[in-house]
Amino acid sequence: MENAIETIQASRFNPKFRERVAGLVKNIDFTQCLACGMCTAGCPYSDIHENQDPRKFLRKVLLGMEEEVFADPYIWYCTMCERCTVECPMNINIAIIVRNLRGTWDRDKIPGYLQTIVREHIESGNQMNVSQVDYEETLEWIQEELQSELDDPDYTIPLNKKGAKYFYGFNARDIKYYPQELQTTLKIFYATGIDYTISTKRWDATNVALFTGKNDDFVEISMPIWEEFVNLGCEEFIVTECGHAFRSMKWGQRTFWKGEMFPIRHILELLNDLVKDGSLKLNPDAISEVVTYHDPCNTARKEGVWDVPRELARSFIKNFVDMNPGGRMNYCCGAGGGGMAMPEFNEKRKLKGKRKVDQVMATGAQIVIVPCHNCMDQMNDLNKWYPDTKGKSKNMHMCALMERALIMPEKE
Amino acid sequence: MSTEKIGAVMVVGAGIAGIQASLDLAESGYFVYLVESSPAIGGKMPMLDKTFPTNDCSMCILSPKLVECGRHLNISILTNSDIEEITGDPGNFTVKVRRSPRFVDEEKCTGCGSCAEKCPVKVKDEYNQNLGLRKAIYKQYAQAYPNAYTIDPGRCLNFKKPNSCGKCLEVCKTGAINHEMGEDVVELNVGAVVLSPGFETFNAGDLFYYGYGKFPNVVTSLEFERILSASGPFQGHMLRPRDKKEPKKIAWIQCVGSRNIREKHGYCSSVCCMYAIKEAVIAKEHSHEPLETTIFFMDMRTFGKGFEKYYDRAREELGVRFVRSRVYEVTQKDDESKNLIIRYANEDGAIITEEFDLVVLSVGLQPHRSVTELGRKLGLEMNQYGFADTVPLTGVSAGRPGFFVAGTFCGPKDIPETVMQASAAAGESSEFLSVSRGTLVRKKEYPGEKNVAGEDPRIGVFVCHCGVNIGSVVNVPGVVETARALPNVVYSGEYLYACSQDSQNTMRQIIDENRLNRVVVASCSPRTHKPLFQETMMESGLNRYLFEMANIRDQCSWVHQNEPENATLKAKDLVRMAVYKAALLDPIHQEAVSVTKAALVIGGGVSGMNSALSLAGQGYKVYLVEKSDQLGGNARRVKQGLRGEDVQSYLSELIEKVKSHPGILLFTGTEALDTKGFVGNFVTTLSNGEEIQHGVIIIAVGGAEYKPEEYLYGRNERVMTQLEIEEAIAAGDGRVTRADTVALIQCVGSREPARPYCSRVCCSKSVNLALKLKDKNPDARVFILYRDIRTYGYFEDLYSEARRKGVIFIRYSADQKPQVEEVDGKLKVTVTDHVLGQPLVIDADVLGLAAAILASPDCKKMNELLKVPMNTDGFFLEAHMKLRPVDFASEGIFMAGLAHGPKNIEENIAQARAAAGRAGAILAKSELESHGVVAVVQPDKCAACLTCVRLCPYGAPKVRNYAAEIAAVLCQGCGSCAGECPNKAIALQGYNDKMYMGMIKGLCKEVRQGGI
Repeated sequence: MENAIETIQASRFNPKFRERVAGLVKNIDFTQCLACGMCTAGCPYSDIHENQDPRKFLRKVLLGMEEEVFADPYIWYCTMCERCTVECPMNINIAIIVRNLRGTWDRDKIPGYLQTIVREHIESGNQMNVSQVDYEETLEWIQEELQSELDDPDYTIPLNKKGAKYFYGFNARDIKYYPQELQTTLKIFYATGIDYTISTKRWDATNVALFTGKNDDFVEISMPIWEEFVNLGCEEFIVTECGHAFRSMKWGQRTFWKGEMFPIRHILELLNDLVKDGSLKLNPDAISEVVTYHDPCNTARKEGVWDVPRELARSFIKNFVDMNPGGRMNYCCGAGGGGMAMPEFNEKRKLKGKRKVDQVMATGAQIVIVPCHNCMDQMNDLNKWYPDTKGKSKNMHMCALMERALIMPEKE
Repeated sequence: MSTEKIGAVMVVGAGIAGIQASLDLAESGYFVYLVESSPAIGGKMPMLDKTFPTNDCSMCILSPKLVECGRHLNISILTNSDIEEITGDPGNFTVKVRRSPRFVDEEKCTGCGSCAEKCPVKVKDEYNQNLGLRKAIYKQYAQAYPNAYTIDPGRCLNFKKPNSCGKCLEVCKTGAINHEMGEDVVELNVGAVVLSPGFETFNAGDLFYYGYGKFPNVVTSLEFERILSASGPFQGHMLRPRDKKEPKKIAWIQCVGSRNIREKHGYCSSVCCMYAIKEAVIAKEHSHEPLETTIFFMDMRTFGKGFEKYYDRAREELGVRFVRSRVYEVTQKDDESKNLIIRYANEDGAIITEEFDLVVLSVGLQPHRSVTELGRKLGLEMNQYGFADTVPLTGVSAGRPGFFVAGTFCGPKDIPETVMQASAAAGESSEFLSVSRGTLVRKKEYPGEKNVAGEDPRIGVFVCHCGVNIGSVVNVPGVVETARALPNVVYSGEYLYACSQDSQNTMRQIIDENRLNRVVVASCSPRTHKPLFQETMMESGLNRYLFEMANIRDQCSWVHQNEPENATLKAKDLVRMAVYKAALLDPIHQEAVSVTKAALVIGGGVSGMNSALSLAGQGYKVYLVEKSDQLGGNARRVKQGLRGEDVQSYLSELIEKVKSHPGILLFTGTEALDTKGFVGNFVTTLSNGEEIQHGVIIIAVGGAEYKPEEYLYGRNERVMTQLEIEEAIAAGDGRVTRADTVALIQCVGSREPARPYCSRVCCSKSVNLALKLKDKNPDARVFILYRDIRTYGYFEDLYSEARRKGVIFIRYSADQKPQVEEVDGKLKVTVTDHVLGQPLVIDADVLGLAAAILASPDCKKMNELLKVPMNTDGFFLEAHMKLRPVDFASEGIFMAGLAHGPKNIEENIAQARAAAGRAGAILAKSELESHGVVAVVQPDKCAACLTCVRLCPYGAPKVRNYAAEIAAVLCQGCGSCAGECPNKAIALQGYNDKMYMGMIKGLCKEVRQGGI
């Protein structure tokens, strides 16, 4: 807690601290901060709960108040959504500072079970610690389900297909908890007839080290999936509807991948192209509800994907309404930055989420497209926490909604 | 290679800088080619509504200069023209100028506007920032010079498809329009080039988060100027562009495109804080209902002369609200109102959401890309922002011989600084080409003066609408009718702008046709416009004193804007009085006096020496008088300039140049004791007994550093002023150079009730000192405690560097100043951190105080010696804060340096050179005319009582042969003697009792008839 009347002794400032932080964040000259207050106003949560003012946090860094900085709960409260400094006139990026400070933490002191997930991912190859047997059995189950659903007894999931055009990376939750979601996606792929593959070795595109700031963990988690992509000789890496997986793949590749760069795209970018070229046909009358779209920060603000999903949504949804703000200036759902895995701060994430709840309510939408597993969990929790809104809107992945409008090609 | 220097100068860009430089050069004996890429001269200034800090109407103060420049015999104006190439050598350049076709013959076009009226194509009007419409054939603005229309080939139907329209051709009575006109390349021979191509405003759409271009009620500051302007798209009614509703609550957002590293605009645009305050103040005046105005800012940079008071008044008296917060984004309310929502953080971090019905973006200044390219093409150093770099400590040198720069071409600056730099560039050019002065100029011949003696008065009355300035309040046709019925009036007519070029032409025509021998103009202030109308009279062969003016704008429409009927009655009364007086006017003939081609420069600091060298370089004799034993002034204590210049070596070189210049007679340890005479012919007695004769005076008596009483200064030796710290660093004083912790406190003695002005230099200076300390000892902890960091222009880069190097900036407010105590031999400084809101204790080894810059006590001496006025802060008061920044009201006397107001060395040099440029324009003439209106004594009524002798501030009357005599050349026409003379023996020409009785008679006769 801040104590407004506590006197600060300049003699206690550590002038070397900012240099240390500068060494961590490398390309950002945060010393240029003018304390202008744009970030304070830009942060959706600075007036939601205490210790959530980016300007004050950065001031402590700049003054060299090392102890206070590390004691500041801001570091873990921040959802790293980057809204505060997206247009900082001094080119400062608070989220990068936060992430790098998190990266200095002792692994065993990292809040919640973030580090547990990281460890399990490193050990098992996926963040849900799904065993190889379970994984392959689940795929088999999905395959069987699809054979009957598609009325195609010869249907197989294209596994480990060398030279496939697309490599599909997804989230371990699809295997462990929501295999029907993966089934839906594969059904859509089937309908489009695209040439893709799923690896049985490395398939989880997520990376929770994005939130812990531990770069060595990050590389250990993601390097194998990139190598697997290269190994299979695919053309393009397609990432599922998961903001942090998409960000991990894109940013991680830019930052850590030493090999030849290969294209990485969001699944909604691919699907939109397929709609446009006619390979994916959707019934424009299938969805009659009012639908809105939530921009995951990692997908939209940080990786620039917000127009394409809307174009896709509008192509088959009659009553599409936009959230305000949206796109680049969207509000975080409240559980970014690993918030879902830090139960000790649940009260804060509940408070933060109210802003998103209000925003959704204002649209009057019955369905919210939430193209992110993490945002989905947070927004489902919000529906529970704010019972007045419960049942008024249903959170869905885009693919799940799309399935309702999907027109299967004529059998030959 | 030719060594011959050409007595002509090319001025590139015809904004206020180009106009001023051209006028100064043309008056100094050089022929000027003024090249402008747009169809009219004027630049940005005509677009502005009012100007800070005087709230003068921008067009009103500019218009006389436009006309003067436009009709100057020695200025050739090339519009629609761009520089193609410059070859040759300094002193003898060949400039290739590409002239794009205007499609209207400037000579034939009368500016009547019939063509535009008939033109069927409506186009967004760039001059009105696209808020209004113009036609495809158009004139930039009403007062534009040349007063000729131009065709926009991109929009004219005839260019899309030949012979498809031609409506303009049908109506043009002079056959001026020619769609076939082609491009033209001319080669001109000049000796020097002054570059003043100006700026453009930042494209506000680049900051998408402020909604410009997306939300109709977000406008730029320049658009808002047009909205406020009487000549703007809404005729001066303050309306929202889309729905034409009058706003009730306006927000200004500062630093739009300034202080923004992301946009590669790291610099401060220097003018936006002041123009935003001005716009808020003027908007309040415009509004019919109470208007809420809020300015969102980071640091309030009111650093110029008179600015801080303007800010104080806006905040404390006029209720402009200032919120220290940079706005994150502007969103639009989701309803019909299209109002705007701003969510912002207060200083304490509290979040506030507020609704406004208009948002004004204070856009910064940037160079137009073509201007940067021009600079590069000419081989000039262009800086990282695309502005031209000047050679340090020259003010105007572009780094290439024969090239000088002025105005915003070399960085953001306000109008006075622009004008100053323009005069300096003119002075430098004049110095560079002095051998060729007068070789290419033409002389103006007026027609012989008509003898009107014995004629009955034939008076013409010209009533001006002044756009809507007058016409929207005063019933101008009614005034015209009233005037027409007055005795001796043979003509009465109304004009949209009486001062415009076309009205002036009409006036000459009417004078001839009606054989007028007296002229009355009812318009604005004689102060700005009388000379212009008088010149028109001279061109018509009339003595210029057969002229009378009624100020129906300032005295009627402005002050009585809410009572149009009474304002009209008063305007009629004023016109009646002017007409009655005009009937009694007699011609006044002025004496021509010779000019002593020498200058007296008082003060041997950097400013005085620069003025002296410039004038001596122009070929005039200079008497440089310095009261102390050595030259150098305050600069002797300054070690480093704000751009890192070695001031001491500059100073010793400067002193050497002054001492060795054969044209400079140096008097150290000497003061001016007594000065007699007038412009062109001064005689000054020096303290050494010598009497010198000179035509002009430049006063550069410097300033002084305030001796603080605050913060233990004088009681603890570790508390020092900025200059003392600088000296200590230079001397290697370990107390300072090896200090672990240094605190610097800003605004010590400045921005205080006792001294309500900003000392301008100290913020940049402290940042500089902090960097120096960091340089000496990288581990030193340096804190700067400030109220607003005022590192305007490129000094913002210094501020950036200081933050990068770890200097810590803490803001304090005037009501919560830092506390300084001495504890255990250390200085304990306590201040509240402005971000964390917690008290912060700094144990400083050294405390530096940014002590105010004071006016020199010698300003007071000069005030007594030369009757030159001072402002309430003790600095000299210029003739006009905006357009005559180095002139005193008394002709022939100029000011430079700190005596005018706080400035840094570079700025002082520019001003010193500007004063020399202005003074040189007088010395270039072989003779000057005496002041026209002077007091005359009727000797038979004089009792030689000496009242006038004691009263006259100029020492003009002397008693000889038992009667007073007034030397016409000394008399300034103030009229004090005429008013006080007990026997009414003295009359002021043009202001005698008979005329005033006539005026009263004219007024009262009407009143009687009105039945009161």
